[in-house]
Amino acid sequence: MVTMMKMLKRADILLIIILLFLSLLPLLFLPDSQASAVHADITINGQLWRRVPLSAHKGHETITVKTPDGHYNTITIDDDTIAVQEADCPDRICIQQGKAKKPGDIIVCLPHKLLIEIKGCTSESTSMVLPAR
Amino acid sequence: MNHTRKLVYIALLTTLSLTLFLLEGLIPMPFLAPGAKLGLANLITVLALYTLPRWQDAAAILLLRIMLASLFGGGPTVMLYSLIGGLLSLVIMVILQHTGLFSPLGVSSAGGFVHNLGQLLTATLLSAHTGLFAYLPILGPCGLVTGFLIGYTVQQILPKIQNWPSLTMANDK
Repeated sequence: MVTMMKMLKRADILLIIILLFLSLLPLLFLPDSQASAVHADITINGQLWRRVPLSAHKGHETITVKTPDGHYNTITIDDDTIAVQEADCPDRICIQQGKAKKPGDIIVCLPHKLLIEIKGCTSESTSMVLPAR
Repeated sequence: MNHTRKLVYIALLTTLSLTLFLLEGLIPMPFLAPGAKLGLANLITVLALYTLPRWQDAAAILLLRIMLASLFGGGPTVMLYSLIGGLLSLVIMVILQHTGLFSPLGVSSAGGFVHNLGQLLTATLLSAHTGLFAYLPILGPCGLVTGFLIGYTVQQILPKIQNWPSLTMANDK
């Protein structure tokens, strides 16, 4: 151990510290780069109508979806959650389903053929397939 | 070092490098992150940098090893990763070595770091997903540690092979 310390030059130590710092650098940018992957896809009758980014979203927003046959659903986005606030469908199940937030969550309004899906990768489940080295 | 001796020495180092590379493939490694491995073959690259008169010879050994390794069961993808990681790491090590400021320990540590960085860059290019840099806090220090150990080994080896006739001739030159 003593000999190893003697062999190390001052410049070596400096270099290693700089590289250590460099390797930790992505941690500063990491949280938002991974979280921004979460979004909500709003589809009507099977067709993508709008894609709403969720994780980067701050504050309150209301959008109204008009179905081709004249009905409507009012969707609210509160920070990173999305919910149907109001609708003129007969069963109101879409409103009762409450807030969706996590990837995989789904809100459906069957009478209007409206579907809200939360998609994206969470930090613990990166579905990346890397070529083996 | 005359031409034949140099040729034999390069061939020897290439063989050693390939052997280490294949041997390492047999050792099961704990999964830390994709691509994290010991990089034993880089030991020979660093050794070549410090024993051969020209850095181009070390580059030749590296390229030969990567080509042979891909024939021995890597394939084109592995070859691409090795090429970019290996060449970037070699370039950085040559530059650092020629500044004269660093010992083999520092040079090799930086080499290990840049090797992993190069592979992350390759993976990012191939997958078009910058989120892969999330692995740098693991892969970077891994490269530093393996590079450091390789540098330490090279420093232990160097005084012991100074007596080799072919190498002493290289130093006279």
